Amino acid sequence: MTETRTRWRDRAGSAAQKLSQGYALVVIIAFAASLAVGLLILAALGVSPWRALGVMIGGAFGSRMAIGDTLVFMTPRLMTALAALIAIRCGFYNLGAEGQLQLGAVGAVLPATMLPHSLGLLLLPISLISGAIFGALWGLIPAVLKLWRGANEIIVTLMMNFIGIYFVKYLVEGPLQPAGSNFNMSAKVATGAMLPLILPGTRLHLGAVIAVVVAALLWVLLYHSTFGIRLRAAGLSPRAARLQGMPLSRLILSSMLISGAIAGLGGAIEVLGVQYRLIEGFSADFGFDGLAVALLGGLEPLGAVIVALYFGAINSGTIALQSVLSIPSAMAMIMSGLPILFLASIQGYRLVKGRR
Amino acid sequence: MPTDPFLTLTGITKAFVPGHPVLDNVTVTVRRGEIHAILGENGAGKSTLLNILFGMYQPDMGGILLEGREVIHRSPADAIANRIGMVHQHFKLVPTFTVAENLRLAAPPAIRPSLARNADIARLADSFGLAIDPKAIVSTLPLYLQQRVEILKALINRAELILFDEPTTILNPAEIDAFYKVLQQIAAEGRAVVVVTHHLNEVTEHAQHASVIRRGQLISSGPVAGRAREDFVRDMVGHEVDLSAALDGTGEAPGPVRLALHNVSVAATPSSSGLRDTSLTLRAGEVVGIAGVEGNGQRELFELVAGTILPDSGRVEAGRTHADGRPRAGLVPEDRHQEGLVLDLPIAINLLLNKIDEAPYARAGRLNHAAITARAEEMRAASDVRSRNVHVTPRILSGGNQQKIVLARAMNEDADIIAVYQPTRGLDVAASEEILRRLRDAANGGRAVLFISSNLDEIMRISDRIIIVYAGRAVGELDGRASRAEIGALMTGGAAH
Repeated sequence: MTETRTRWRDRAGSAAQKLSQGYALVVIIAFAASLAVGLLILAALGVSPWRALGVMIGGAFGSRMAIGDTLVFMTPRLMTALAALIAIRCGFYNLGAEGQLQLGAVGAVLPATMLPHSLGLLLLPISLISGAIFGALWGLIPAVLKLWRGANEIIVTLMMNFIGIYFVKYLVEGPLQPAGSNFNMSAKVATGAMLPLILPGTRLHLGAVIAVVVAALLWVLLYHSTFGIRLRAAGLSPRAARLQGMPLSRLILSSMLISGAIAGLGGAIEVLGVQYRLIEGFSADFGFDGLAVALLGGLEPLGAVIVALYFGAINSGTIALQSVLSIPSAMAMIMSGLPILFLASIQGYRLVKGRR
Repeated sequence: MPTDPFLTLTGITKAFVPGHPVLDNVTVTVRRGEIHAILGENGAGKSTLLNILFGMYQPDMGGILLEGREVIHRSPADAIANRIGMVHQHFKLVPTFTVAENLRLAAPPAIRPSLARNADIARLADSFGLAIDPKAIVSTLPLYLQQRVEILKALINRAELILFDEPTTILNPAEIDAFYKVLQQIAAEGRAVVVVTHHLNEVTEHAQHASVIRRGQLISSGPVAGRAREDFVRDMVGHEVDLSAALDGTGEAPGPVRLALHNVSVAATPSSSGLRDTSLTLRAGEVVGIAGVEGNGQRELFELVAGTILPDSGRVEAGRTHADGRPRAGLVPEDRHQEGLVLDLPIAINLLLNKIDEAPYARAGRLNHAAITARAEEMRAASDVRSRNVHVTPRILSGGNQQKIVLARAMNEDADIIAVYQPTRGLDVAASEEILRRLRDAANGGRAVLFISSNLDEIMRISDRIIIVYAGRAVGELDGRASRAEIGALMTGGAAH
């Protein structure tokens, strides 16, 4: 009864509508402007922008190893972006991908370090699934709190990120720290649990493929399933969806389960494909980057793949900038932050101008 | 009665999109001592004209002559300084403030000291014949009194011209009469009054001067005396429309009961009385009109039929129900944009939103786009929805076309009941007539139609029975031929204000 009388907010609907109008063009303008400003900053640092651009592109795509690095950097950001977008498309603002990713990493490292190594290659699927389940359960908490108690999901998901981050810190300083170690990290995962490398001579692991496959699955789910159409209807216009008998609560719970599972899987992939251990601070704000990727990508799976690839390239490209031209790799943060600022400015301007 | 020209809008042209003027060379003169009605269909440009006059938009061409001198209104502040007041459709009051606080807030600084005591305000209000309690919190007042505060705001600002945008949609018949008495008095004191409306009765009964705008053009402007309703409709629509076209039933006795509410109660909310111990039945083949002033339980009634709320006590019995117990009913909700449609999903999905998980539109959770498109195209053709195809979103369509989608979906529901709530709100005359015709046909074809509306004319035309709700109760049931006076008396709970 209280549930059926809840007034559902219509944010997602209006946001999606505003974003969809000429969105691709706006994004291209935002990225072009960011690149221009980035190059101007480099010029101000006394570096030839064209040389810097060449080094960055070379560092991102210039060699097999560069491409591998770009895709490795892309993977966690794509996973958290997909997690964010499936929840937001249902009208649930999940800002908690970072925490769900942390819990996913925990979920993966537990079986991967503790189960008998004799399980061999079985350890990989077990650890991945365990990570997804941990992430899903962590994501379910804010959904349940919202539906039962009306708790604001933006605050709850945001705050639970810190619980997740500090929980990992606690684990690697305590229960999961191998005896006699002074490093804040767990034991190494079993070889059978490691994601296989797929491009010889690079760090590229199977997780990148998993991420792209998840993106494709999400696209099918959103556009070719009844679940997807109901999820989108509920996100765009909850009151209309409710009048046509759609179970809003169930849709939100389901979308948050999927969202948390994807972010958790992202955390598992990072542990099993890159670090091979649970390490304090293993996530370079992947959850927050993912939110940016999801929004810049227009909350579309394909858009998320493209923008995540850009973020990956910026990360590997700026590492090259640092090693070749001694430019701080913090440039990566500037280059990935600028498009968001430009996009927000353009969209904000359009919103204000459009209001009559 | 003095009738000197007070203000002239000369050659006003305004285009939000270049090449598509919303107003095209409109010239209107407003005189002191007159109630001047501006008539037009939705989107004709009448609100834009008002907003230009009040300084919210700038005209592309043309200007404002105030007592022969050209003025420019860059903002509402300029208009107020030129002694123009506006009562918006949605009131601009601070709901948590008292009447006195709202009036002091709106008063020019020079006048504020003279409003310091509540007694000053009460005396001032009385002097205008607008008695009101200065200590009352605005949000607790009925809408007709809130409107009074808005009028007082304009008068305190020494307005010589007061603009009203659709002022009577929130009033019951008795309140409408009282409202126009106030306007007559304001005009009689030598002020000018402009009322934007699409209620023809009000124009022919209360206004002295009427200007009709159609698609941005001024079609006619002159005294009301000697003109009939039909003349105004022709000016508004551009062709003859028979507003008295029969919407009659088959004449046969209604069939079995399709929906019954037994002593249902729903808790009140700040904006509604809820329902109290209300019973009603709806039979196959009849249209039952629900008349009442907004907020007297209509929304709860609709939501009970939709199954989105459950009664706190009492029972809702429907002939057929969904698996989850909701009554099976075709629904045309009040808010077309938020409840009727998902504006950013394609027309095809909107048409089949209620059946999207049923075969042949979905199999094993997978959408069958071909089946959806085929059926949606059929429905679009049958309902004459004017759109390029069914893959575009309804956002770009006119209100009439949007409502046709909502109605088509309601008719397509496997239900004996159609429940509609303000089905013609915001639609032009032709589109309204078409919606009413289809609802009547649905009833004559054996469906049971629950017709909830604040438009009494429509209810009187289409209904076989009229149930009047007041303060959450069904206070009376009248035959479909009942008079406006009979219905109006019940709408105010049997007592006049």
